[in-house]
This record gives sequence, structure tokens and C-alpha cells, in this order.
Amino acid sequence: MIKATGSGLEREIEARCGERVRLCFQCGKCSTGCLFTPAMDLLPHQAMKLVQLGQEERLLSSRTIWICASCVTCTARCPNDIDVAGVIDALRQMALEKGVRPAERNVPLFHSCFLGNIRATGRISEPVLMGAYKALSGDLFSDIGLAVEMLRKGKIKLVPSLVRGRREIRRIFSESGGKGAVGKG
Amino acid sequence: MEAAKHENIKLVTNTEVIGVDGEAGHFTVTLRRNPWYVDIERCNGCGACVDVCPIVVPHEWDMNLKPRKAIYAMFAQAAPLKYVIDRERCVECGLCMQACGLDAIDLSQEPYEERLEVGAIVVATGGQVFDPSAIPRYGYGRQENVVTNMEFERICNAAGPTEGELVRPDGKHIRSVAFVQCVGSRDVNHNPWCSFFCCMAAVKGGRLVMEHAPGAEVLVFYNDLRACGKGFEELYRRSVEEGMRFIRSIPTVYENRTRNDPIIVYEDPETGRIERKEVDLVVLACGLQPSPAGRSLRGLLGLPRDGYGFIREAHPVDGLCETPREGVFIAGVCQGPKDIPDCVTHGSAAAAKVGIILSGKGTESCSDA
Repeated sequence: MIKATGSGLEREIEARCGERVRLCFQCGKCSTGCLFTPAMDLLPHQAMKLVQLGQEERLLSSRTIWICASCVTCTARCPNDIDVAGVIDALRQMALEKGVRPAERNVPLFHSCFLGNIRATGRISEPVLMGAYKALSGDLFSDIGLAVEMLRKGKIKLVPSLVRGRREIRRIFSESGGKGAVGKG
Repeated sequence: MEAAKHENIKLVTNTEVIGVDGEAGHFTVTLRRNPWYVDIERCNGCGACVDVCPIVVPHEWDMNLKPRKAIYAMFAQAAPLKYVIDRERCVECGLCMQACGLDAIDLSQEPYEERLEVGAIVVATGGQVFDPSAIPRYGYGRQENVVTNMEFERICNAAGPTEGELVRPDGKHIRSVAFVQCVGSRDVNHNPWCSFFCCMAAVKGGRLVMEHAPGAEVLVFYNDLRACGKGFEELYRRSVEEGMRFIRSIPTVYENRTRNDPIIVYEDPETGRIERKEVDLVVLACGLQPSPAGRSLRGLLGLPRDGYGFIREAHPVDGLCETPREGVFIAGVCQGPKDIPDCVTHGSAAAAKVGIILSGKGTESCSDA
């Protein structure tokens, strides 16, 4: 009796985001369009191949899943209509759920600081976000020049502003049960 | 040309089919004969009119890479080799009338209807290639030196706009060419089908480049190289041995800010790295798709379409040239993408089926006999 084909990882990805990675025929259009390949250890089409092959460990510990900026150029170009960015998002979720140490530690950290900020005030406050991220990442001075520039142009409000619908925002967070959110920020 | 001279073949050119009545063995086809504005009984194809015509417009036959006049013959092997006036462009200056020694120019001609009694009909309206400007990342339409496979065919052709010299649209001699395969094809957002002929056309085109310009670099960026059938795989292998490079990656074509040479961004499968490379010419392998002519004739004859818009055959195995309408047959690309040998086979098969009808021996297919 022939059982369903494809790797277990392929099926898990399909269950999570509905994308059928088995359709990928490795044309590489995602990788030749991707703007972030210089920083990636796996090219997007290589990541899709590894999903087909069930190489979960390599994928979840890769830098690529964290480097991806979800600009969805790959998704727009895929001739098989695979939401490549969505698959990478599903891999990120899996990595967090399974407690895999992120190869790019600061990316999920930034995401959780960002969401924590939204949850608390409903709106991003640059000083709060930067303070939290810098303190937790230990990367204190990397963009300091940019901060000075932004301050001078009045792009940074020093007093955080609150939105009126904070209760609704908290409800969105609790209803979604943290699903899709990064970490438990 | 040979067909035009055959005593049993009547060519009816410059004509539209506007109605078909009747049934197998007794069709009445209503034709609209469009005027040539040239008396083709008198015209001997000398071309004196062309020399004097002051109107210069892009030549469709040469994919607009070359100009033509308002009075023209489509190409040197056209049958019949007579001249026709493009009335939408003509300014009625009358110079051609003065130049014509045979008094063949007649601007007063009007379209007229004609009826034709026929026993069987073969639809062979062909197809058209995908318009690559629908995919902006290939740069077609914005970059001069990105051309379609059809335009490249004309550039290579000895009777084409460059008279066979390998020159790209901005005039530079071609020393490196990148063929990009599967443009619009095998893509669920455009044409989901494989267009069948483009892989081998790229191999052929690449070999032409290597022959015309020894030492030229030929790169074929492919998805899967489909060299099916007798002789094709061997030609592909020979081309690899002779230095044509096949790279399994569908690239993006970037604009070059300093030169007119397009930049190809691709993944080198050997290193797994994204690379950039400047080339002289990019040839996009635009896939075959249904044509508007096929669509209108399909409507006129009441033939079914397949999921893609090609004419649906009666049976995918033993009814490839038949349609559900008895006495109406299909041949060539109007049924689906094909290369030249397959079109010839399909056409010959349709002709044989027509023979059965015309001989009055019934319409049953050979497989039932």
C-alpha cells in the first residue's frame, strides 16, 4: 500500500501554513529575486529543498529563517504559487516552539521587544523599543549615530503616547493566544 | 511556395473567414476578401513601388527590428510574392502608381464576400508567444538588449534585419548571450504548461551564436532542460562538450547603469552562491500560447477549448486532429505547443483524415477500421 509521499516536515509545514512545498521544482526564482541572500547561509530555494528532504535541524538552526525580512518577493515570483515567505515564517514558529537556539539571536529578540511594546501601549515608542532591545541584546552602540540623527530631525518622541483602544489590543493578543507571535514577549 | 504552384491547391490570402455553414462533405465557407490595393494578376513582384514609397513603418515580420514601406511584401518567400498596401499607413501620395510599369496599383479596391464550397476544413491558426513585459524582472521593453526568442530568430536569420550578422539592437556585435528559459511557461501565474519547443530552440540558437562568433560565450539558464526525443539529448550533450554552459537557475535581469549590457543575477549551482554577470544580449524563451485568430475561428466553428484556450482535440490519443464537429480538423499549434516536426506530422495526419472524408468512405477514424 502506498502511503502519502513527502517528508514529515513537508506535511508539518502544510498543516501549519497550508503551503505545499512538494510543488517546488527548484527553478530558483525566489533566490535570484531575494535581496538578503548575501547574509543567508541557505538560499530560499535551498531551504525549500531541505523542507522536501525533511532536514528539520538544518533549517531550524539556519540563519536564513531569521534573516528573511518577509518582503515576499519570493512569494510573488514563485511559479508554483508557494508562499515561500510563509513557509519560512512557519519554520521560525517551529524553531521557537521547539526551543531551537536562533542562529540570529537578536532578530527574535527585536520582534518580541516590538510586540511587547505594542501590547503595552498600542503604539511603538522608539525610546522604549530601543531601550528594551539594546538592554536585552547587549548591543548598545551599533546604531547610535542614527539615533542622534533621528532625534535631531524630530523623528523620536521622548514621551510615549498611548492609543485609546488598549483594551482591544490586549484582547487581540490574548485571543490569538500568542499564536503567530514571536516568543512569549 | 511549392504548395502555391500545385495545380490542386488554391491559396486564398489576405482573407478572413466570416461564416461556416453545412456539414462534413458539404461546407459553405463565407470569406471576406480584403483588398490588396494592387491587382495581383498584373503585379509581377518587381518592387519598383517599394523604392518610391515615402512611408516608413516598423516591419512586423522582422519583429519591428527593421523598417518597411506602406507598400510591401511580407517577406521574400511570401506566396504569392505580390505587393500589398497597408491602407492604415498609406497617405495616397500616388508615387507607387507612377512607378508601376504594369499599372497594377488600384486604391479603389473594396473588400468583398466570397463563398467557397468545401468538403472538409482544417484549422491551422497557430499560436503566439508570451509577452514578457508582463514579468518586469526580465527587463523586456525597458532594456534594449533584452529580446524575445522570436526577435532573436530574426537577428540570426540571413534575410533578417541584420542580414544574419550577430548584432544586438543597439548595434554592438554579440560576444556573450544569456538564454533565459521558461519565460511565462511552467508558471501557474501565467502559462502553467511547458511550451515544448523552447529548450531545444535555445540549444539551437546557442549553437548558431557559437558558429557565427567563434569564442562567444553562451549561457543557458534553465529550469529543467527538456531534450526529449531522438537526437535532441545528443545535441544537448554535444553542445555541453563544445562549451555551451547550462546553468540551472532562472535569473533576474538587472539594468546596467554604466553600459548597455544587461546584468544577469543567478545562482551558481556549483557554489550555491548568487552571482552577477554582464552579457551582451539576453534572449527570453517566451512560451507558446493560444492566438486571437484561433480564438475567433474556434468561436465561428463552435469548437470547444481546453483549459488553456487552445482548441480541444476530439481525443487526446486517437483523435488528435479531429474535433467534435465532423469534417473539421485541427493541425499544429492551435491544438497545443509543438515543434516543427510535430506540426508537420499533425498537418499530414489532418490531411489524411480529410482524404477519408473527400473520398466519401465515411468519417470513421483509422483506428476503428
